[in-house]
Amino acid sequence: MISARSSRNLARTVTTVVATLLLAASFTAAIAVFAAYDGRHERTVERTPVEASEGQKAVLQYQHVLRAVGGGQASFVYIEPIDGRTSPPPGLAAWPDPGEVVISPSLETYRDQIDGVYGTVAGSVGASGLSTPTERIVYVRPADGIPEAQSTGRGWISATGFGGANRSLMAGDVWTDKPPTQILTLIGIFVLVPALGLVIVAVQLGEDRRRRRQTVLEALGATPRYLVGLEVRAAARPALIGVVCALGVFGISCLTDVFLPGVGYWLLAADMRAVAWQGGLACLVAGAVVVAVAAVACAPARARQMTRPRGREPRYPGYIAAVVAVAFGLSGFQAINSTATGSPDAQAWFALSTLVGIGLMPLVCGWFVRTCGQLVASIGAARSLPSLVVTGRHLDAAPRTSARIAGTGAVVVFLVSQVVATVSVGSDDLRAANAAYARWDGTYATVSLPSVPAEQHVVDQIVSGTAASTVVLHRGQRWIERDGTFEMETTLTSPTAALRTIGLEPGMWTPQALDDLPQNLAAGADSVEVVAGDPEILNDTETEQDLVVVNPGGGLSTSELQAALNTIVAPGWQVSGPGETWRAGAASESHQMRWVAWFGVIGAAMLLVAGVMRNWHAVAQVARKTSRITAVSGRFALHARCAAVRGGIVAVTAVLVGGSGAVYLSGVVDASGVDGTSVREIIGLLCLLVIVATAASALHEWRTGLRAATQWRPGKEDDS
Amino acid sequence: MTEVASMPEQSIAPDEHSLLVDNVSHMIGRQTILNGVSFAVRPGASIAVQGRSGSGKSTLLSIIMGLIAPSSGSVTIAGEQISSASRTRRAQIRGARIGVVFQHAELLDELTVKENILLPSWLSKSDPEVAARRADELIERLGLPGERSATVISGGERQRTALARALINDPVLLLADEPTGALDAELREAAAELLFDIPAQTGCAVVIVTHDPAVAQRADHQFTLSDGHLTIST
Repeated sequence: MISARSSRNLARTVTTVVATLLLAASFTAAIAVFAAYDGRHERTVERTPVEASEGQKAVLQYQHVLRAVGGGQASFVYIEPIDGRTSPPPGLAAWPDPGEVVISPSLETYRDQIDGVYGTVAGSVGASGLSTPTERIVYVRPADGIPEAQSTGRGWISATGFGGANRSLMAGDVWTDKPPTQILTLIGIFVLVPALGLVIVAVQLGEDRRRRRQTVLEALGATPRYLVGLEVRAAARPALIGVVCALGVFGISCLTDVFLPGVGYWLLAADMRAVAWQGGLACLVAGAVVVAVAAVACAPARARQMTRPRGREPRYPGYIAAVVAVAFGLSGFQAINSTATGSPDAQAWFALSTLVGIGLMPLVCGWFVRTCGQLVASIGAARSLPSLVVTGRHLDAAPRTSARIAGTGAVVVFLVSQVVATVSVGSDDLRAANAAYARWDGTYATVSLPSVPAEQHVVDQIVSGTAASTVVLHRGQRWIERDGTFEMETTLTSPTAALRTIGLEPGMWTPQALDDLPQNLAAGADSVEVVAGDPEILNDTETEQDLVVVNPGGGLSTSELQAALNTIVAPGWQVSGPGETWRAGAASESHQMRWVAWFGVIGAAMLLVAGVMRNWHAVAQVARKTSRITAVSGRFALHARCAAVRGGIVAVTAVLVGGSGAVYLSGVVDASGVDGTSVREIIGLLCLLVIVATAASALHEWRTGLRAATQWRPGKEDDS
Repeated sequence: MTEVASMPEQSIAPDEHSLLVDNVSHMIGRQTILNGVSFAVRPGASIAVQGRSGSGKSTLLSIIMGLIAPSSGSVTIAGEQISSASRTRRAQIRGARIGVVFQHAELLDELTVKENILLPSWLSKSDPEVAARRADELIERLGLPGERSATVISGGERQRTALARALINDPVLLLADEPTGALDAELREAAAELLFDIPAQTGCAVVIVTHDPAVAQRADHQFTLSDGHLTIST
């Protein structure tokens, strides 16, 4: 009886197992996204204080501010129980004593910046009180409780307990404010689609042997149903192994927290356990999909159609390279045009020309491979180098296999890098924000407390608590109507002597007339009024106001200045460095790009594996052709040299065609205002993957040729 | 001329022969494939080995080429024992002293006829100019279209190209495994003629394994391999 076992070969089995595993991973990843979002939402809700409404009995008071710790922002939650029997926040075993703080594990590194500044560090926040394990959060219980005068106002909020829907406590998590559809889209594009492609390639491996077997069985009277059943059984075994592996991996993620390297994210076992049966089902569905694909893709009629004697090699005309160059040139022009004008037509032309360029890229690779083959063959013939002649002539006469691998590589490099480019703004924004921070480091910090007056003694405390040379300005920003148009006016107020310290004179100024630092303090203003007076924050809801603490001598870094201010100002006062909010937002966006790049690299790897495996058999055939000659001559090194030459040409083609297109277009996007410079690193990484993939293909060619040569015996000419 | 034997007791001086097979036996498991096979071929002489499928013809060729080691006995090519040489040395002897013609020619289709012929000389790092001159001579003598691609030449031209390729390094021994098996009667006749004549002119010994009696008869001596024993046919 014919069994599935008879058609098994190692490459097909391994590839099918891996493809099943990856398909299951893409399904379970989608489920994990929802599980992670739900888990974080639940934990956030559980720990969020419920604001007491009119007439409700409050059991605690709290306020929440962001403060700088270790170069980043952290959430500081000031809490004070009113009723001693009130449960502490989730993640805290008990209420901290007055003057104690409890920090999340990710802030342990910066314990010295918290201990003694906000109180004595008395413990860590447990996992149930954190939306993610890496969250930066600090619970502070004031040493002296809340003075009666501050019990209302000054940012303190009365609450009836924990478990409210207010999400304001969440902080520092990149996906917090992003809808799950974004990450699902990434999984779809970069994991699901390549995994399906790999499944199709995997089940079709060994098509020549399959076709022969099907032809023989059909001739012996086998029905189409029987033949399909044979293919299904052949695919079922590796698919089952893949499902078992996937269930194992998923099971591990249900038992222990899993760290995702590259993005620094912890997948929590508690979240995964909540979707245990859905995840298991997803693994089984993946196996079923693989078997179904095998039934369709390896059906007898389909197999014959797909394995007909191959037609002529494609022509790969040279003018295609010029067409692609024009297409990408047009893409670049339209990218600039659409950024400048926002024209939908320009965007459509950009998309169309880019698609044309991508679509023709494999043909360019074919032309390049063939041209390289001609060049290499002529060099080899002139210098009597057989590896160059054999490989060059083959690339010239039959470039299809090498062109397909190079084309896959080029498209992967270009496509993935451009997808990453479109969402890379955050990373470059982070660089700009960091550059701005570095530019103004040590010059100033801001202290803000909207809608509450700041008394003079606070200003005096700031001056005495930081440095003698510190200058405190009141900065007010408001919109005023002038000649029917609205303009932003910034008012900077401080005593005359203090103003002169930083090069300001009372009067009305345009920002351009001011020195660098005051100009930066008034960023975005149309006019600047410099007023001599005490820098008090006033009761004025029309004006956005804060205190700017300038350190003209530069004796303190911004972080030192912030640390000093943190010890002085009251809870609820926001202390920020130059562009700190911008930095935090940009860091979040940049982190998102790391997810995109992470998925992109995974997808690229899968597509490359599919591309290499698709040509696995053809590469082996090429190698076997030379094995007779090397078997007789004993010059086995020819196989290694031929594989190296072919692999080198394929890798160079893919990197040159895909990489140059990607670098050019990301450069144009950069020049047009939507930063894409950070994509260079991704392009480099993708090119490295392409080189690894072509090296794997070359290794296969070398090993196949070597094996065929060393195992060849007279009378075995037809063993290929 | 050719010395013939299944007679191990006969003394053969190694340096007089292109090929000396001395009392070679080979077993696979308990099955005896070759049993005390001995013969010698002098320069310019030829022998044909016939036998049924599975009689051990291909095993004998493999042992002569040094691809497998005999269970006992020795094989000497131009005075150097290949059967006891290291793997590297066996490969070197094969590359420099043996030419092989395969049943299906086994040309590399992408190469031109001349490049196919030159390939062994490139692999053995022969003097390029000398090799090119020899290739041109062979192309002329065998009437081959040197610059044409191997894909477009006829079956007879393919086999003549394979012969030229086997002779490019000026071997002392030419081995041919069913060299005319894939050719029609007319081409077979022409190919067989070249196969025996051209090596003879250069002093190259020929060992041909064939099922075709007409081809075998062209050899100086014909042997039959049966039950592991080599016996003279005529």
